[in-house]
Amino acid sequence: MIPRMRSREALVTGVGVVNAIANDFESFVGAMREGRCGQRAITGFDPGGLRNPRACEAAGFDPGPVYERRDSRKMDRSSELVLAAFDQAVAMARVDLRSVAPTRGAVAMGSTLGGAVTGFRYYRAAREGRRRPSKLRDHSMHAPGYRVCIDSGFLGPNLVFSTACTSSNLALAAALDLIRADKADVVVAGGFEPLSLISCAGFSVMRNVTPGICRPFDRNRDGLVLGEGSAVLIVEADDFAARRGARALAAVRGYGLVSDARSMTAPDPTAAGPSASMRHAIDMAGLTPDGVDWVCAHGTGTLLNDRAEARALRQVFGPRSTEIPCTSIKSMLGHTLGAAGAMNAAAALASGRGGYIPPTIHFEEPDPRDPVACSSIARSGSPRHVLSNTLGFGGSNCSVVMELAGDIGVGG
Amino acid sequence: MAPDLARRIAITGTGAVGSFGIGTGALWDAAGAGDRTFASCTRYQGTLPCAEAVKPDLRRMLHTGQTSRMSLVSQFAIAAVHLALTQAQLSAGKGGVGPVIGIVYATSHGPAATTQEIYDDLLDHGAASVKPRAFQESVFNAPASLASIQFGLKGPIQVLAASVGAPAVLQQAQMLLAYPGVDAVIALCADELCEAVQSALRVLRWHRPAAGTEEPSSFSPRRGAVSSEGAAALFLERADDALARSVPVLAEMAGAVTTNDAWKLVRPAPDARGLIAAVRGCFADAEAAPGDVDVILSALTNNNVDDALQAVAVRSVFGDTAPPVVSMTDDIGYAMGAAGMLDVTLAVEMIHRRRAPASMYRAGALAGAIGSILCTGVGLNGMFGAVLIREPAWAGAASAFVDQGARTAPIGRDPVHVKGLAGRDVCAPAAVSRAAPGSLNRTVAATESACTREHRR
Repeated sequence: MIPRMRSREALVTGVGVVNAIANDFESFVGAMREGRCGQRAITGFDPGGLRNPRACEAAGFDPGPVYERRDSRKMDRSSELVLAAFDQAVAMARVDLRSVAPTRGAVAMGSTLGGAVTGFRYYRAAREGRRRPSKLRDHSMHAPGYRVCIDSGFLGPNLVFSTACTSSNLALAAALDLIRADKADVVVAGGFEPLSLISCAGFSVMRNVTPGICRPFDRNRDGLVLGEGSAVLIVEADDFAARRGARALAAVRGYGLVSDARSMTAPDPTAAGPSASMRHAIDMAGLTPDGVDWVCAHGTGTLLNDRAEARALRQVFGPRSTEIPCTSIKSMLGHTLGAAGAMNAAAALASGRGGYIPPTIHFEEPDPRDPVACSSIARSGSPRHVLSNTLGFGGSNCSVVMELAGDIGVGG
Repeated sequence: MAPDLARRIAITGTGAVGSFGIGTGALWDAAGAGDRTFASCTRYQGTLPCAEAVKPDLRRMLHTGQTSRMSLVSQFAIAAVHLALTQAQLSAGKGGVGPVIGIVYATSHGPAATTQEIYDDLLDHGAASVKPRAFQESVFNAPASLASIQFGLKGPIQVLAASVGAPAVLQQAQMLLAYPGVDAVIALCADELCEAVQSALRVLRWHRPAAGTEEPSSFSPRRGAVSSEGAAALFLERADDALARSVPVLAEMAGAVTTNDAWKLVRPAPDARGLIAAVRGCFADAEAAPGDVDVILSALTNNNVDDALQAVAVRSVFGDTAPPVVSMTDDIGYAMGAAGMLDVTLAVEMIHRRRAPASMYRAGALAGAIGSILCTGVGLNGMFGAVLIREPAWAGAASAFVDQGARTAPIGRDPVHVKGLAGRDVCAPAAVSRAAPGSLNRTVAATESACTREHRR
């Protein structure tokens, strides 16, 4: 039956992150404040033939502790990334997930091509006559989430969304829904994306990738840089969090989800979809556009995508669109595709922790046709309501509004 | 107590594509027809048995050639959505929208054949040889996005990678319908055969071996699953909306729950805890009890491990009074992420016709009237689900059954004479807030007149 949506709050009590500029949340806070660039030569595979042999690979990530904690020997790159971020998030939330009633615990993840690294390796070996069943165990996209369920004992839904770049914003939206519908008390929500030859080659032949550096919203932008990583959030119902005396870092307040229904690859030049998505998210959060303090943009750095998003911002915020602080973290950690929404959420939490608004590095000159208020250096500030945008392949748009801790109480 | 019709979900349209043919009538005819012989796939070299789907003729269905180059899984999905929208008597078209209709789509392997094509290009010719068209269609959301483009559906799209698709999709559809800005949801599952996936499933000893090469395994003597492909779509709307626009209600989607068993990769918990939790959760969701169930329709994979779990779960939940358990997989194969939704589609048809397919009836399993069907699913990597489909008693007198052959008749006809779906209608802008029950009907009426005017120009 259609659930009755309640006024339960979805509180974020823990976060973990792994990407090209940081291997944990605290270093992420520092790396973004410094404006660190994660772009470097690809090491995970031969980048020959790619438009850009450099990307934002999580090269400094050591999966060793993930294996040590689980007495495990081998898993897919996606699982390594997710479990590393999950371990951090659980530690920060100080939650014993085994205390959650098993059917009241859920997982909601997002990914575009999770499992592609293992899938491609298996296929290459199989073509050479070597078929390794063990490689297939982790290939399914819901395997990382299933590993989280195994760790936590959750028997609830293990959902993995795959709507390209909007995937993990959708996972956050699902977490909010599961809690408001009273179908879960705790949701492990996030996104993951391994850097794979298939994604690098695909975006390369589509000429979305810059041969140089990623400059979102700059007038001289010419493409994106792919990234890798995972961000995982512990999202709890306020009543559950109150019972255990948890400290909230933020609340997921609302989301908007709208399709362009226009093209598989090109954004709608009217920007009707992303603007509707933002409006719905702001409305669900009980705000007006004036209540939004910072836009953590999708900002891929491609000509058309940034133009569509800037136009949508203008439609939603009016003249304020050139004043409201705007950031694309993809300038630092690359485009993590299905993990992009979760990375934005982690960036929002980092902003709350560090008391600054993250920069859009490499941003030098605003686009005179579609200006937004980016800065190449971190700005001090304590934004309260953050709008996080994602615009995906296939015309999917998903925006999420989060309220950063400050006044957020943990009520019963 | 009167049912809360704003919380009940009416199924007013179905669509199915698979090895059985096109349409739920063909699915009905195939269900329970017996242990059919499966052959290897004609699209690639391989010896493993499978049930290849009939390719839908989208050029005739939609009066456009734009879809003919899409991946097969997208073609299956678009055909199923077309059939469901047509049966639900709704108009939608490229260039505009009427009601806000969301799509929740699940797939187990996505556009697998396209992905394999990309892998081959990468291995044979390097990174620069990947075809842009192939890459854009290799993302999991491609079938849903292409359907949204084809039919002008600007509502929310959710895409799930799920080995048990139907319960996940229907659970998420329930959530979307809780929001007043969404008028209806298309619940869609699709998958396509692919040599690499099929052989990998055999490597895992999950798939049935090629004829004459059977070997002892933990799955004997049930021989293993036979891969299939296809798509199934349901059109879901709030019961009060469906009643207000006087559209025939085929069945009620009463409950849907997806779970996992938190056990081990590729090895489900032998106590069936995941499936038991799913079935019990489904009953709670539907405000139903085990005694309400007349039939269990299960996507049995035909291997010992999965099928034993089903038996353990049924015994645990129903005790000694379990209703009959039936399955179609011997007839149509196991359509991966779409298998469960094909079961649900058949269940809707059984409720609507108030009987089981003749062969199931003749088998003696299902002799009485059927008012409530539980569909269960067991998937790889600990994914489980259950869906309860029941008679829409709140809809008053049962709507007259219309033969599926007649319902699939719009294929190839002039779309102006059927209800929309020509792919070029011009409609009013989307309403973002929910109007009174019946608004769907009014929007459709307005859409039709607008479209008629547009066609006359």
